[in-house]
Formats: sequence, C-alpha cells, structure tokens
Amino acid sequence: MVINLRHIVYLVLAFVGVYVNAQNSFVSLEVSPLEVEVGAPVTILIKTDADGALDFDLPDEFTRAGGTQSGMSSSIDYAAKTAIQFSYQKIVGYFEEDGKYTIGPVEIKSSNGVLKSESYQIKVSEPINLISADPSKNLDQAIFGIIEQSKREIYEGEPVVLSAKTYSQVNLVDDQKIYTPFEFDGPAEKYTLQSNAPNRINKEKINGREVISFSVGKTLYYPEKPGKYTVQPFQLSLLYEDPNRLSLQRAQIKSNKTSLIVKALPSGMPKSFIGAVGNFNISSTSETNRLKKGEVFELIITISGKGNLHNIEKPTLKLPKGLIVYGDPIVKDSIVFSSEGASGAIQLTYNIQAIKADKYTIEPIEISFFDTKSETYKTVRSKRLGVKVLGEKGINIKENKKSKPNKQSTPLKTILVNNTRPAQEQNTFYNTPLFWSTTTAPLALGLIFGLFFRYRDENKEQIAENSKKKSAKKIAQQQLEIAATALTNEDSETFYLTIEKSIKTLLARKTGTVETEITRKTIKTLSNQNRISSKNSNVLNSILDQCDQARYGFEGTQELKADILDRTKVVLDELDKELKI
Amino acid sequence: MIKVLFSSLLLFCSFLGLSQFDEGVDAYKNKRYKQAQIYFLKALEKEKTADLYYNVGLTYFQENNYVAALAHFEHSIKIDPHFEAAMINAGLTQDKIEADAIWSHPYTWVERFIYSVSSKYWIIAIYTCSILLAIALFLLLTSKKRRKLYLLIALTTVFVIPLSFYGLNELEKHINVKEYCYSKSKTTTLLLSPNGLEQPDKMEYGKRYAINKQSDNFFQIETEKKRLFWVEKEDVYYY
Repeated sequence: MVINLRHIVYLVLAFVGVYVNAQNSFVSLEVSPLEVEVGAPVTILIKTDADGALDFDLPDEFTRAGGTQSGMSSSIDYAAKTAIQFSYQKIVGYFEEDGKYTIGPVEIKSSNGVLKSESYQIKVSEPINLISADPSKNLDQAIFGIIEQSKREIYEGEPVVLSAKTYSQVNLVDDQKIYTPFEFDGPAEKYTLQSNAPNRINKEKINGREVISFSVGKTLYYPEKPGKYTVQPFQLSLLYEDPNRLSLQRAQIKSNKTSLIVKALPSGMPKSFIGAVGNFNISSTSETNRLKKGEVFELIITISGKGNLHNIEKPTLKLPKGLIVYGDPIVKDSIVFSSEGASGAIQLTYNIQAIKADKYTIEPIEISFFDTKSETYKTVRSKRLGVKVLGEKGINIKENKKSKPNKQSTPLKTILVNNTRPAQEQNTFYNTPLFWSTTTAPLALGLIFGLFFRYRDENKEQIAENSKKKSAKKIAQQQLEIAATALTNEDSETFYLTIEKSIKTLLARKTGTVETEITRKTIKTLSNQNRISSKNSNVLNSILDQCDQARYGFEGTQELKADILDRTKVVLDELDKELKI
Repeated sequence: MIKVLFSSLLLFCSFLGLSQFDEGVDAYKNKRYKQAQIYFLKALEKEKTADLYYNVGLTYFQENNYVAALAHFEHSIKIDPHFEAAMINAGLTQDKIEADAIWSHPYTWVERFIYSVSSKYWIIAIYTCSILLAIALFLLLTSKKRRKLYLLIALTTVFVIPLSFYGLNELEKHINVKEYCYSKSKTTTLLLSPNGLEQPDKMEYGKRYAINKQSDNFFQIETEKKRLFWVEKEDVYYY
C-alpha cells in the first residue's frame, strides 16, 4: 500500500479529532465540606460526560445516608461558548470515625482513554461535647427535646454551639418533621452548621431505658455583647408510631429553655490586640528581597487560626522610611465555620513601593489575641524581612499593578473630632397628660374668662339688681341694730325712724323700687299679688301704724318698743324668704 | 461582637477624663479602625448623636464594610437630615457598593424640614400659639375694638397649632419608628410572615428597603414590586 501525503493528512486529522474529543470529556469530583465532625453529613458529587467503567471507592468508615441521587444535567461554558451535557451522581453520607480520609480520584476508563478527577482530603474530627439539661428528668414523656450547648459561659468574641436534640421512646417517622428553631435572645452573629446526617439516629440508655435521639438545627453563635442571655425553646412536630393505636400519630414538642453568660474580656489588653478571640498565628512573606527604586513589591501577611477570625481587624503595618504602602491591601480569606468557630486564614496583600534606594528591614508584625483556654492575652509576631532597593532609575510601577481609580471628585469626609450635634432623644414630655393639659389650659381659660366677662358686661343691670336684692336683708338688719341701740339709749325718734326705714329698705330692694315708693298701698299690692302673705302684710301695717302713732303722739313704753323691734325682726326674716321666691 | 472588648480600658479612660468619643477619634487616627468602632459604639449606648453614627460609618468604610457604613451614615442623616459630610460619604459609599449608583436622600424636603426642627421648638410653637389663641379669643369675646386684629391672630394660630402638632407627631414617629434597613449579607431570606415560610427571593444586598411594620424580631419590608415580606432584625442594619 502506498502512503501518500493525502493519507498522512487524513491520519493527522483523525488523530486531532480523537484528541480534541478526549479533551472535551471530563470527570470531576466535588466534596463538601472538607472539615466535618463524626456523623455530620458530607456530600460527594461526581460529574462526567464520558462513557466507560467507573472506578471510585469510598473509605470504609464512610456510611451512605439518604440514598444516592443520579441524573443528567447541563451547563453552559461561556468561555468556550458551548453547552455541556453531563451525568452526575450525588452521594450523601457521614463518617463513623475521626481521622483524615482521602476521597477520589474518580477514574473512568472510556474508549478515549482514562479520565481522572482530582482527589480531596477530608478531616473528620470528634464532635465537640455539648452540655444540656438532664434528659432523665423528662422520661415521663414519650418524646421530648433539650437544647444542647457547647458552653454555659463564654467570653465576648468566643463562639457557642447550640443544637436541638430530641429524645424519643417510641418509633419515629423520619420524613415528617417540622422544626421551628430555638432563638438566641440577644444580639449575635449566627451561622448554621451541618447537623447530623439525615436518618442518623443514635440509641442511648437513660436510667436503664433505651431511647433514640437525633439532633437538628446545629448553629454557631457569636454573641455581640456581654450579659446573660436566654435561648428560647425549639419546637418540633413529628409523626410517631403509637404502640396502642394502628395509625401514626403526630406529636408537637417544645424543648426547655437554656441560658448563656457572655463575659467581657478582661482588662490589660495589649496595644496590638486586633479583636481576635481564640488561637491565632501570623506569618509574612515578601514577593522579593531585591528590587529597584520606584518598583512595587507584594508583602503578604497571613493571619490564621480558630475563633472569631472573620471579625478581626487588620494589624498595624510599620514600614521603614523609604517604603510606602501603595493603596489598600487586597484581602483574601478562606474561612470555614465549624463547631470550633471560624477557622482558616486571612491573607492581606500590601503593595509596597520603594521610593528610595537603601537596605531595609521590615520589623515583625505583631498581633495580640485573647486565648480562651488560658484566659490570657497572647502576642504573636511574624518574622523580620529584609529588602534591598537598588538605586537604578527608570522603573516605576509594575504594569500589573493597576492604579486605584479616583472616580469621586469629592473626597471622603473625614472623622469628626467633636461630638457637638444634639443627640437623638425621644421627647418624654410629648403626649403626656401634662403636655395636653398645659396646651389646652390657656385655650380653655381664655374661652371661659372671655365668656364670663362678656356675660358680665351684657347683664350689668341685672347683676346690680340681684346684688341689691341679696344685700336687702343685711342692710335691714343693720338698721334694726341701730334701732336696738336707740331703744337702749331711749331715743324714741331714731328708734321709730330706723324701724320704718328697715322695713322700707327691705321691701324696696326686694321689689326693685326705691324706699320712697314703699307705702301701705305697695304692701297691699304685694299682698294681693301673693308675693307676701296677708299675715305679714297685717304685721307690717301694724308696725308702721305704731311707728306713725309714736311719731305724732303716743310714744309708747320701752316694753312696747322692744315688742315692735322683735316683731320687725321676725317679719323681716319672713319677708326675706317670701320675696326670694 | 467585639464592641465591648475594651471595657476595662474604657473605664480607665473615663478616670483619665477621656471620653469614648475622644478615644475612638484617637484610635481612628492611628488607623485602629475596629477599636475606634468599638469606642464609638460604646459611646452610642450613652447618647445617640449624629456625629457618633457618622464616625461609626467611617470605621465601617475603612473596613470595607460599605453596606454597614452606608446604613450608619444614613442613621446620622436620620438625626440631622442636613448633615452634609454624612450625605457626601453616603454618596461615596453607595458608589463603592455599586459603581455609578446614585445615592438618594432617604427623606423628602418637607420631612427634612420637619425632622431638622427639634421637638422642643415644636412644643414651644404649640404653647406660644395656644396662649396667643387664648388671648385672642378672650379679647374677641370681651372687647369691641381691634376685633379684626384679634381675629387675624386667632386664625393664624389656628393654622399654626395643627401644623406644629403634625410636625411634632411626625418627628416623634421618625425618632421612635425604624424606617429603613439594609441587608447584612447577600443571603438574607425573605419570609412570608414573621418566622414564616421562606421565599425563594433574597433581599438585595446594598439596597435600601423601607420598613413597613415591625414585630419583636422581624421587620416587614416592601420590595420594588410593592410586595410585603418579613426579614429577621438580626439580618439587617436598620435605622
């Protein structure tokens, strides 16, 4: 057979086609999370678009839970502008023992060769010990719940794990649970953790009785303020097999409450304290130790550890003169929240420009944190770094260092050094009875006084007349007192005059006339009008007659005068009453 | 969370006569932003001034927590609606959250006027007008001279009194009621009712939501589509 150039081209094309096809096929493995506790769920996802024999083994300590989910799916690769169809298999399970396990690689032996995925190492730790109220006290209930917690007392910045544990003395139907979580009664950051894998039910012996238990709602809390806090109960609605009945029954349980004391950090915190609580370390590296004047190099500071890593602040970077920080540091973090808190590392990349040729030493960067185990502040330092800057000119900034765009024409307004603005305060006076009474009082007073004065002005005469009527008896009595004095002094003329005057004054004031108009005729008219009784009319006439007789003739004895005085007093009292009506 | 980390130091400072505000300013100037934040937050427990919220906003800004910074700048604007520095910083922070986004003042011009007048001045206006109205009423009822002048005074006060009551009432509501909130994260879940069914939609990060109602631990917020959902208080920055 003759092999010419054409055959060679076909062979090359065929080879390239096969090669390209082989490149397109893939197998990938995803494992999540990479740090778990014994019994906590782990998800393993295998994706591939290749056909062939699958070679993948799971560690013996791994127990599948909740079944394996398989199917087809598709995704779009925008970079390659292609749609990829692939099949997947999702496995959920948990590890029975602590340790480090390797998962993967997944191998597929296809017609195009062997495809291999990456492998992962998973760290499985013993679950942290959670404390709770004594479950044996609830054994009178078929199903009951207790809130578990990692600690009863913590320092501020320290995490606490809370979990809802349910105990049952009857068989439960797993898929029918409705869980209402517990609530931490205070300001706190909250991170949901993986609880035990589905269907993972433990058997425990409490006071010799066998009970089953399971946990849900494992949550990591970072309380924000010191104080004593309450964790409100969780609720769970679940189906159970009632041994006395044929059908399933639904139970609604409510757990206990629990409390947590958050203590303030002790005094004496170092200047380099960065708000970290837990256990931390710091390291630093320089991109280079030799560069030219004007060049920029990267100084990478890595803070790693466990605790409240997500909440720490940046350490203070002290640079020698001649080195300046160029822009803000680039922050990269890889933080995982687990029962032990936030763990991982935060990497701060500073771009540092050398503006002067010299030999520099970057002093160790120091951070302090509060160690909850020893209950003391600890300080850690990075290593000392040396950088030599050469004096050659011409190179300024690395091209890959993008200058920070200054989009805003107005710069950020800086800090206020005086707290002068008034505080936001609720006005406690507003809407109080005092406020409303003092607001409405002037209006009411203005209205009342205004109406009163107006009434007084409009009824001036009437008021004066009423006043006259009211004072009639008083004036008549004053005149009777003068008459009594005249009687004592045996002054007959004054006596009879004041007696007569007292009668006329009373009648004139009571009837709204003047004294000169009061005659026997007036008295008769008043009697006819039934304003005074005929008896009093007669008495009055009799007194007036006696006064006339005395004035013009018979003076009368002292006894007679005394009798006239008494009768006048009585009749004036009665007239006052009669003319009031 | 680390707000009270420096409690003992704070006590010591108080002995020295240094206020937490001054300590915060000092820490800020030395670029110890977290410490500064703690000092300012501590000071806020005593008195809630616009300056303190503003400074807290700056510390969050320096920590690149722009949403928290914006919420605190706006909180200072809530107390002093004409706080220029806070308005400028809120605009810059909004731009950091979303490039080229334009920050809008949370309150209308009328609201800004009402909120900028202290409640004591509203009360003084009410009292003054109440007394003036009382005098005008008295004179209208008793005097026959200058009745037009008294009538004018009475009508003016009758207009000013309800206006002052409205201002005072709005101001009290403004101070007592939480009005706006921002999601603390991109994953804040919307709920159908307090502690109720979770919705597939999340709260938009960096977007200001008006608070419609509030219960013990939840806020009812209104979305752009005018739908009402609930969010947990601890998931949002609010003011």
